[in-house]
Amino acid sequence: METFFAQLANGASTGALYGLLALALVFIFRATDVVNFAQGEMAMFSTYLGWSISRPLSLSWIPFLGVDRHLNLLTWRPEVFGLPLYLGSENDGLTRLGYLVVLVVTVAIAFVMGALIERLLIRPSEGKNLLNAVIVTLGIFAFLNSLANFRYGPVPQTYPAPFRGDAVDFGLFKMSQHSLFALVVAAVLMIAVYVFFQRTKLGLGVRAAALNPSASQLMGINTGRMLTLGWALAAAIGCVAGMLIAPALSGISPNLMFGILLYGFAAAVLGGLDSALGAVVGGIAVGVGQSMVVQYVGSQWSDIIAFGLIIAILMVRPTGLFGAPAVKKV
Amino acid sequence: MTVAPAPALLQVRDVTITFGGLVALDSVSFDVGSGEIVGLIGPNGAGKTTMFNCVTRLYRPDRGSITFDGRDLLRVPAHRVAACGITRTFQNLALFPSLTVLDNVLVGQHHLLHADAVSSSLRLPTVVSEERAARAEACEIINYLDLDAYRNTYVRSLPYGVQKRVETARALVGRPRLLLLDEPAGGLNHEEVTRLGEQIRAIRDRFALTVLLVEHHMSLVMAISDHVAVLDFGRRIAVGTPAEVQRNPAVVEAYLGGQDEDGTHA
Repeated sequence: METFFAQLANGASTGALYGLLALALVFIFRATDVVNFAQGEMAMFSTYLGWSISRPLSLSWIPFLGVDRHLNLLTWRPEVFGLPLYLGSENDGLTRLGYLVVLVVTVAIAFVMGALIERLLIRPSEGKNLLNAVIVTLGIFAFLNSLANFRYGPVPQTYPAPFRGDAVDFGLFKMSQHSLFALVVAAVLMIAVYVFFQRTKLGLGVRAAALNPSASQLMGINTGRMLTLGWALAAAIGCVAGMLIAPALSGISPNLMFGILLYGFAAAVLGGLDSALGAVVGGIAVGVGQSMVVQYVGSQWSDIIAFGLIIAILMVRPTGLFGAPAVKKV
Repeated sequence: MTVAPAPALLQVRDVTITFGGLVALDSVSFDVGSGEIVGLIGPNGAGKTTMFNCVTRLYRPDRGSITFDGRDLLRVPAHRVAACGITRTFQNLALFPSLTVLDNVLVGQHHLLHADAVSSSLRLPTVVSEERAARAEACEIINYLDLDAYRNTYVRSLPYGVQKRVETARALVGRPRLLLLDEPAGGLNHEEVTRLGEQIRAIRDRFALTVLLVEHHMSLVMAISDHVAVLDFGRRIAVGTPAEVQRNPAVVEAYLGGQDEDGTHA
């Protein structure tokens, strides 16, 4: 029984990360009707950028600083009057504050990257055949994957995680600290996204722009900027998912997000491609389902069942669990 | 007609727009004076909604000028028109069906709120109080238009007549100086139309607005308009007070000789 609950907890944690990626897919799909195939690779690439800045950074190019200065964000230990401000650390010297700094900086970079991709690559195909934009996302997929292979090589690199101590014992089951951390971060992010869309003027603007662009313009909404914001947010959310997934797997490699993206798709399709709630529920369902299949059926079945599920849902209930039925007025 | 020396609030001059070979508007000119209710009428396909789309900048005219309160509207992008003081309703409704009535109305205030992305994600106190004030004002207008009972209802589940009121609320909450109403009486019964006429006047007085109205319902237009401009096949064929326009032979010709319409008699 303990294995069952442990699998349930781990499945929920992985599933929350699938849910984040599905949420990013849903964002872009709702705003532009485009399925962003590059979502996973954008997350992978920004995760790599996070890895780069978590390495000791050479400052030797700055004059007057001395030649051999290095800045290591991960082991940054600021103290005020002997009081440690770095929020605890792991055995290898990684501090929680250092991780937080790397996380925030990386997510900010991903945000800008998402905005630039929309402005420079997606915007030109706007208003034309939807297929154009979809093919562009496939191009970004291939480009980022090759660039990561070229720049970082195919060998997986270990990825920093802020909590690596003993598993936490909940009585019924044990859960690794990282899984718990990932679950909490994903939950907080999902609530933040909900509040943003339901309670703020800007979130309402993004929703309105997605629903009826020309009417929204006449309400004073700059619809172009809302699209850019949607892509930027999706990239930032995908980046968080990538940074939490990499340590749970064998580290980061250029193909890190390939399988994850497919599970993210499964989650989004299960929940309904236009439903944010559906993405979250679908993600957790897929994650739990996957870990149950691995435990009780056999790991070789996990992909087969997941993608059999996508096909079955698309045939039986194409709108997913929470999606609105597509009504096209002619 | 307009004796006042002050220039009209909205001045449309020689506006021409073509779609392919079709001349949808052909050198159309008219004025809308401040505080007036002006009717824009004409048979189907005369170019009335096209005119609205030019004023709200969804279309760009090929020639001509549109000036609002001394400002060249053709230099204003569509998403800034609301901030200039012009809002509108749509002939076939352009609401957000999967949002609630309150959210739909709140969208109409978008251009009045100034919080940027950073301060609104940090929920700074100024942002919170601004959004609270916006919500209060939206609720006030929802009450004013008797939509209180539907405040948290999804728009797609509401009857057509109620949806039209929601659209009016969304246009009003943007604090316009010029309100464009595109066929507000469409789909309403006789009694409702009478009430609508009174309501449009009441709204004009209460919110100190100017109204430009596209409408097929002649009795409504003739009853509430200060001036009427008549379009036919993209040309302005008449302009004047309701009484003058009704006597104008070109107008009678356009309606009776042209298509099977509501008729010109009030």
